[in-house]
Amino acid sequence: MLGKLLKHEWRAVWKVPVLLIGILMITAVIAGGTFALPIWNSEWVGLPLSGVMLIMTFYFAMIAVSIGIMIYFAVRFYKNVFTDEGYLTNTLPVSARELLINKVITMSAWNLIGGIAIVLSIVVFVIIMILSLMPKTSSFARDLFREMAHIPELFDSPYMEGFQGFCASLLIMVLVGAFNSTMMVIGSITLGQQVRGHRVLGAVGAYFAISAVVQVINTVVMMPMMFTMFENARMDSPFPILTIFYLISSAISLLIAVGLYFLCEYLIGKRLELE
Amino acid sequence: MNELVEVIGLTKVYEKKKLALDHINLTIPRGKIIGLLGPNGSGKSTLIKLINGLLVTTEGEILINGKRPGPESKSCVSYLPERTYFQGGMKVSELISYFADFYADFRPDRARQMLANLQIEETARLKTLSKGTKEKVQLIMVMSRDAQLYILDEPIAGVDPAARDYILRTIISNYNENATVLISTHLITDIEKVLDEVIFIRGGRVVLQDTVEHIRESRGKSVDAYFREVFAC
Repeated sequence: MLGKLLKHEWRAVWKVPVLLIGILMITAVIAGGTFALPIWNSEWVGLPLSGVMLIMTFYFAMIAVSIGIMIYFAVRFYKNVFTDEGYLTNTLPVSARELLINKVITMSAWNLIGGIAIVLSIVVFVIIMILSLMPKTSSFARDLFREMAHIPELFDSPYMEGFQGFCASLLIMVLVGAFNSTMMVIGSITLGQQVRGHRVLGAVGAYFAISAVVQVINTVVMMPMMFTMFENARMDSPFPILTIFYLISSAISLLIAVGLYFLCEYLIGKRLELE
Repeated sequence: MNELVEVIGLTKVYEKKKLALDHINLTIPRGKIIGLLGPNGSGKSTLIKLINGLLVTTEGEILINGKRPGPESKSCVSYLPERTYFQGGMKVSELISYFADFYADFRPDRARQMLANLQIEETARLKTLSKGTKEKVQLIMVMSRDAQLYILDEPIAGVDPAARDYILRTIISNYNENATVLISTHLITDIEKVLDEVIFIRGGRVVLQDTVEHIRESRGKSVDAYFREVFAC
């Protein structure tokens, strides 16, 4: 049944995030392309200002994608499980676990896709900007590729010690972060349902309360560790310290997300009240 | 086992100590069309939601085919809530595919036939349909299952009299003889002719469960007239 839930969930949700990402990519191309326009040396301030505005639009589009996807899935989860649509969702012959895992997987995946799309849009923006600024006769591209061939040599430097481990820890942190931010939203909405009569307000309150608790846990666990690590660290490469820092941070996020998951599964499976 | 649903000492208390159901005991047999009748706030919808696992019991238990409400019971109960509950962005054809995927007892051909009878396009999105048409689509989906128990909460409340007849015909012609239909409604006159049994519920308590035939014989009046007598304000 989980496979069927996932199939219908993806079919229902893909359009909005894809539209947001599409708009982001278009703004990245336009913003990068402004550097090719002969507006920057114009005596009329309006022209360079409009270029800046286009670049700012790209910046706001990145924020819009990040927040937009989160809000879209939060609203969908709330409507789909706890309002009128919940009368269908909660009478399907599936367990609360399957229902929740379906939502968590879909939302986490789209959080991740949104994040990747933002990084890609920055890459697109930078490439187009470089191409726009590069003189037609320049050997910049050839020089760039020649220099890039030397990148592997950088890893031999003592300043790059532990870089691979750092990349792995970064990847783990991104994956756990997508799961954690999903559970923060789903957990808040589900906890908010316990505040009868003020469910939306309850969800918002729960979000801030959970965030505060997470912040306290992070501070209590991380601060002493950070001081100890920095005192004992060799200062030639920052990566080993950052790797440990990211791994501990990921472990805390994962524990909180898993805790919230089981709390939500209990509340949806055993304490559901659709009024 | 002839009982399809057993309700044992069922109590539901909402927030602020509002008592909705008070130690209800009830047995719903197989193969009947049963009217769940009572005034507003009598506990009909609460009982229906509890059978469907949409609320948590305060006390007592409900057994459907001997099982508590859960995935297993949901696979044999076809429920029509009193509200519009499908996603507005869905097409009717997507709804058919959705039901076919989740309910093994769903019959897409039956659904398509009923949609065609009512000239409802499968390509139509639900949000473009009128409220009455949406309700008909919902009923078609629910009645296109070969379920053991159909629970219809106010199925004819929002539709015109002509559509009511169609809905009642749909209900009668689409359930098999081993299935039970539990209909909650205020519009007793319209529905009385199809009922085998009635359950009167007031203030969260069952005040009567009897066959329609017996009520007519013993009271010498229709169920509607008897209802008005019992629930006179």
